Amino acid sequence: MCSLYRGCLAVLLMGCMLGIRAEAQVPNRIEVHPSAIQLDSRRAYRQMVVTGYFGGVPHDVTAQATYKVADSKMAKASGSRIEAVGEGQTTLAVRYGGKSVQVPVCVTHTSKPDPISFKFETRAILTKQGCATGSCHGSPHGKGGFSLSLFGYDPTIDRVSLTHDGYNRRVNVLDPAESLMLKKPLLEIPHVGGKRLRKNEVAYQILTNWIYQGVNTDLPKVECDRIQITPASGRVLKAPFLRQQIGVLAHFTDGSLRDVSRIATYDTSNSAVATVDSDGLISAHSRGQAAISVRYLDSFESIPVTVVVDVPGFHWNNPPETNFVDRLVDNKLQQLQYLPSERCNDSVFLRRLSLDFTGLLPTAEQSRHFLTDTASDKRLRLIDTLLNSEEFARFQALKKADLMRVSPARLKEGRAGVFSEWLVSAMRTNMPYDRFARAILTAEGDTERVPTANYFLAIPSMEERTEMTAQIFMGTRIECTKCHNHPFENWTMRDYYRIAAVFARTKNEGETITLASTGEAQHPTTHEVMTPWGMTSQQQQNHVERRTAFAEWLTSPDNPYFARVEVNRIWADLMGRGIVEPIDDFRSSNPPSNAPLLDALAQEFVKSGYNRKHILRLIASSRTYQSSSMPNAFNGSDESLFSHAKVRLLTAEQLQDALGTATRLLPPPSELEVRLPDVQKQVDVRTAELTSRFPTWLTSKEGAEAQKQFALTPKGKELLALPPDKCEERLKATLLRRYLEQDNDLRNLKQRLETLQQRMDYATQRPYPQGTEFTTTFGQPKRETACTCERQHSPTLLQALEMLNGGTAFRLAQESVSRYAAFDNERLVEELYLSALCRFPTEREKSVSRGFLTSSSDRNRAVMDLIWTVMNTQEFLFQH
Amino acid sequence: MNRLLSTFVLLITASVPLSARAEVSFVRDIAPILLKRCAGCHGEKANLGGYRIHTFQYLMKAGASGRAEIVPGSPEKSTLYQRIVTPVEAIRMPKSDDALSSAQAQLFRRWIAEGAKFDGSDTTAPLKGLLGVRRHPLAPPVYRAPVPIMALTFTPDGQQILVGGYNEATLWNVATGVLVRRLERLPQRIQALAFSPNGKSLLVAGGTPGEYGEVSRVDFSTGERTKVYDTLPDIVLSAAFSPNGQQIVAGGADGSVRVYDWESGKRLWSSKVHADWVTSVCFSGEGNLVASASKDMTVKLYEAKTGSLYTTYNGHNRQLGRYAGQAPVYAVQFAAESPLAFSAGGGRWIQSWDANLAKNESGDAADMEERFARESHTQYLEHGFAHEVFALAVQDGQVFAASADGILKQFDTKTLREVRSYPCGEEWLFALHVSPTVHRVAVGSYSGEVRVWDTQTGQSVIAFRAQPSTSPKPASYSPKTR
Repeated sequence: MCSLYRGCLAVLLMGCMLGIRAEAQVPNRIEVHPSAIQLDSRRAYRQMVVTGYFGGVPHDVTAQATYKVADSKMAKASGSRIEAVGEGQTTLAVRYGGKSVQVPVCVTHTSKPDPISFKFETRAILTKQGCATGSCHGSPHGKGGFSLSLFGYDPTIDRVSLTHDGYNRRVNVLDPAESLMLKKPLLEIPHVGGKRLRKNEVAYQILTNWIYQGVNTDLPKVECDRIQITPASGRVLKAPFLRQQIGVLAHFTDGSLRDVSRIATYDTSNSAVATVDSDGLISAHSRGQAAISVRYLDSFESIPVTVVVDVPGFHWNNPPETNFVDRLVDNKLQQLQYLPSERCNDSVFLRRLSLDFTGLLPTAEQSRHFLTDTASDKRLRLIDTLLNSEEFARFQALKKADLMRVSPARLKEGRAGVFSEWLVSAMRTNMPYDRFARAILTAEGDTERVPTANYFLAIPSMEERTEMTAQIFMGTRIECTKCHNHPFENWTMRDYYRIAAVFARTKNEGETITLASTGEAQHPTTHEVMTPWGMTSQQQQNHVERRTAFAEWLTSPDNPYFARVEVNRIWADLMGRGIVEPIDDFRSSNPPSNAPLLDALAQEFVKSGYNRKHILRLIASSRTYQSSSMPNAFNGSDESLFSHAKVRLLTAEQLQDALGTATRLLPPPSELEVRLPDVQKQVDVRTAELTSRFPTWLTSKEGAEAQKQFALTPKGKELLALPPDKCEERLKATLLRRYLEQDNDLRNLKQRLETLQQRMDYATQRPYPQGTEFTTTFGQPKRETACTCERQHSPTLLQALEMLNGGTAFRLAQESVSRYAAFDNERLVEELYLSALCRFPTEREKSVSRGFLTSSSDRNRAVMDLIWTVMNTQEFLFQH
Repeated sequence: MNRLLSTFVLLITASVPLSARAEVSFVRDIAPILLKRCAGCHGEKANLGGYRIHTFQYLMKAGASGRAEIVPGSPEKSTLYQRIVTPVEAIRMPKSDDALSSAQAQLFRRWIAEGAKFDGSDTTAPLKGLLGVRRHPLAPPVYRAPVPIMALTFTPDGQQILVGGYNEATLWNVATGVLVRRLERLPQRIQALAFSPNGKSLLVAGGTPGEYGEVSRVDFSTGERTKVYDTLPDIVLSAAFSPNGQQIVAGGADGSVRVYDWESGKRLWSSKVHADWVTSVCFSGEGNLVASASKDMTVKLYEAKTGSLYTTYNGHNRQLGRYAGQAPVYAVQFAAESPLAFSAGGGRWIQSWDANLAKNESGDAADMEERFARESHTQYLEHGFAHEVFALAVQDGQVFAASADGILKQFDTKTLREVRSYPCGEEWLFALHVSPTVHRVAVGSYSGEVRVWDTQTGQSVIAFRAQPSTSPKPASYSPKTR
């Protein structure tokens, strides 16, 4: 009992302590929205939004302002909402802080009946009260035998469900209060979905009246075109102004307007920061950013809200800025009162940049060289060196190939290699990204000859092409809209099938991608033939190919997705978190954590001619990228504003190669230059040797038998049918090829050569994943979806066990002994630290390690243990 | 804190006039409030705070707090009572809802002070069942809006027709369409109406959706409810006589099927084997079996004497083969003196099958795949409706089907050919009855219309709105009723 009341007391006290009552301060001016009120039906109302400007800074004073209608026979104020009473004209006086604004009010049509509209009100309420959500009656099979369309996307389903289905059990027109659809959500009878309706809510009034008026389910032709939100852009909430009223105006296709503030559905992306009530009043709770979303039927809008709370002791220290990246990051940090961390040291930078750009750790030699370099521009030089390396091209290509499902299982007979090689060369030559996208999206032809056509070979269906293209190039997860309008965005089914129409004529004929002259995408419910997305009517008249038109739309400088999505991917690659996160889930209800930064980067990307390396260089050289992962007293709680570097587990490929580098078992790629010609020479020598032996072999018994066998094969028959002069030459060439192919030595040599050329020994450099148990354990994707989320980032118990007890780690440590044993103890420790951690060991680390090595009777065993120990440090396993 | 609270409680209680002096009855006074205001969160399906009140036994048990919520004799120590009357909205029950009225709170206080006694028969029985038989209100004088017709029946002489209404059944003259008489104080919704073999009484079934079902007997001449066979926790959707008129069967939205002796009122058996609503029940033509159709896509057959499951007919839920399809079943009927059944609902067919053969074909789980693929003996009658069939009737070698298309169709049971199609407006047809004495069929629609046809000529006999009403349209909106 006692604790119960203590709890309440706390609740009451909390209200006082927050001091959330905004005192009437004196603004320079007030701005009243709307500036004129038109009420054109008996039940019409208008939600006012009043903004006070305090030294130029806008704050919401809607709740504190007073509202007085001159003629109460025409309209009345209910709080900050103006409601129709009778026809005529009057004025509304809005006053706050000594300022006053007069708003003309015009009221019409109040004598006409104003019945509840099923299409525009009842359905909106079912969404607002949560009935039509995906986890309740909006799920595909409904709940408890009662099913509604998700967020009311299909009124024809809802009308039957509510009135006829279940033997008319849900509505009771003669006695509305007896309706099951009211009694259940009121909890007058048990309802698994809980309390969803209160009698004092507008929702109850609307539903009760709709039932009373005879459950009319007419569906007029008019549609809601869009909703308009006030305030139009984001707001900063800071004490004492911790509230913000939203007004929502719906625009209909017949040109009419209606305030839907009371029946719209509100939601927040981060309820710890700000919440919003059922009347659209936002309340701030703690420092941070949140998106407040507003849904009315199929229309959806969001506004970002920033809540600023003064942090005791915070003082902005004007940290150095390298370029505009830092300036824009700092703006946000300063506003929300975080301090960026210090710049990281050289070894952290070297390790971080190498892993980000090439996926590989630098060798001990490279580390030593960089750490002892005293030039002031060494970081910039390193950035350029790595950007121009083959390792960079291959590792970047791997990331693209992950998304485009480049795997031998999908792209057979070497096509995975062909496509991969194209991706590597595009990264190597820094192909402008718009050209890159166009080359892929407009590809056609034989997939063995046209590498980019494999994009379509990997995903044969129109639907998958739609979803994958939207996800990769538009950062949009559009799958939901295949069956219903998007629950959290303005994307509709029509949009989905318009994008699908782009690929409706792209056909797979065997392994060749061809363009058919017919083929359409149809809306599954209306059967409307969709016009391809991105195509202008002029392009349509000129019969421009659909994909070409789409690619043109996509890569035009003012496209809202293309540049943003790619710079966000680059940012996320380097920073461990996108400015929009998840990186392929761009929508207004998931806003960027720093919109000006994303905009500026996208602008820079466009201006540079879609130069990826330029953006990579820009970010990598910023103080933001180079900041330490160690938080300070004023940024520990920041997770999205980039005040400090994010500590990340190495990816599966990075880890596998890092183990190779640390154990010195994986030769550095620079050695390939030496080893490749050597193997090539061996191949040539062996080929020459066999070729010289060929004439003799041909006349041997074995050779004769082989000829006889070959003559019986279809190919043999075909060749023997040729004219004699051609026949002999071709026959010989074919037999020689077969002779060479059957030689084991030559085959092994060629395989070795290919392994080196394709860099098959490097997980970060291969054209397609090896898919070992080790890499799978560490989250390597199988390349089955276009989502970066297919790669598992969160550490698992299995990973810890694999590193501590697994066969791979053990074998590597064991084999690595031979690479270290020859060093004396002092040197051994230094080499190991440089190889694994890119730094020199500290004095203490040196003495502990030396002590360990000398005290053991079995030195090899001790060396192995030391290697294993370093491999299992967090410093090794994580990028920091 | 405690003292403060007690003072507050005293204030509350003092302000309520202590009018009724008789002891508070748990069943009469407390249980209805618990059910309406508390069971949503603390009921059979939900137990917030680990506390449930759906039976008296549970009500008296402690929730997650470990302390009993009710301390007999002491409202002050009973958390349940304290949580009802606290002024602090954050902890008041019902949570995020209007508070109980002070009169209701006072009932709780007195009941607890008087020892929190139980005056029912079984402390483990669901409270819902304790409430017993409802006394129904009078029907509204006129219907402001159409009430969907879910049941209708010709009088034995075929001259009048009795139609299910709102808290009543209305009797109409078939020749004129004039309202003859109203049988009032019946369940809110009437889902089944049937005359007893002697024509003197009526089997009436229905209820209030989601909370109450009733099977009762009504004297046709006086219109009085003379017997209530049973009450159910949800509406009864179907009820029917056995061929000899000695038993009745009922089933509904609680998923149960129950059989009673018509005269004694004794419940002979009940069964709950369906996974969803029971939509239609009947006896077989020979009277030895009972059939129940369900939204769970099956028809179950039971031994009429014992209620033991005879077999399950799965023809409406076939994964494979020519007649693959999954659809709820809304109607099942037998041909007279025969094991031949007709069933329909969603899907494209009325299915005609033999109860005994269906049992033979319904094997065990081991041969399920094979059975699914194999075509059964069932005859599939493609009805040609675009929407569901809600009612079937079999009479004199003819099967009638009423659909949500607003069309009634007549088929020959032997040839399975369509004999006739009767257009019945735009609205869904739910109710259907064929007179065994005159060649007439009647259907009732969602919009409250009755249409009567001659089954031999196909001529329309009459069509009228079977609604006590003065105006043909729903009354226009009046703000007073808000």
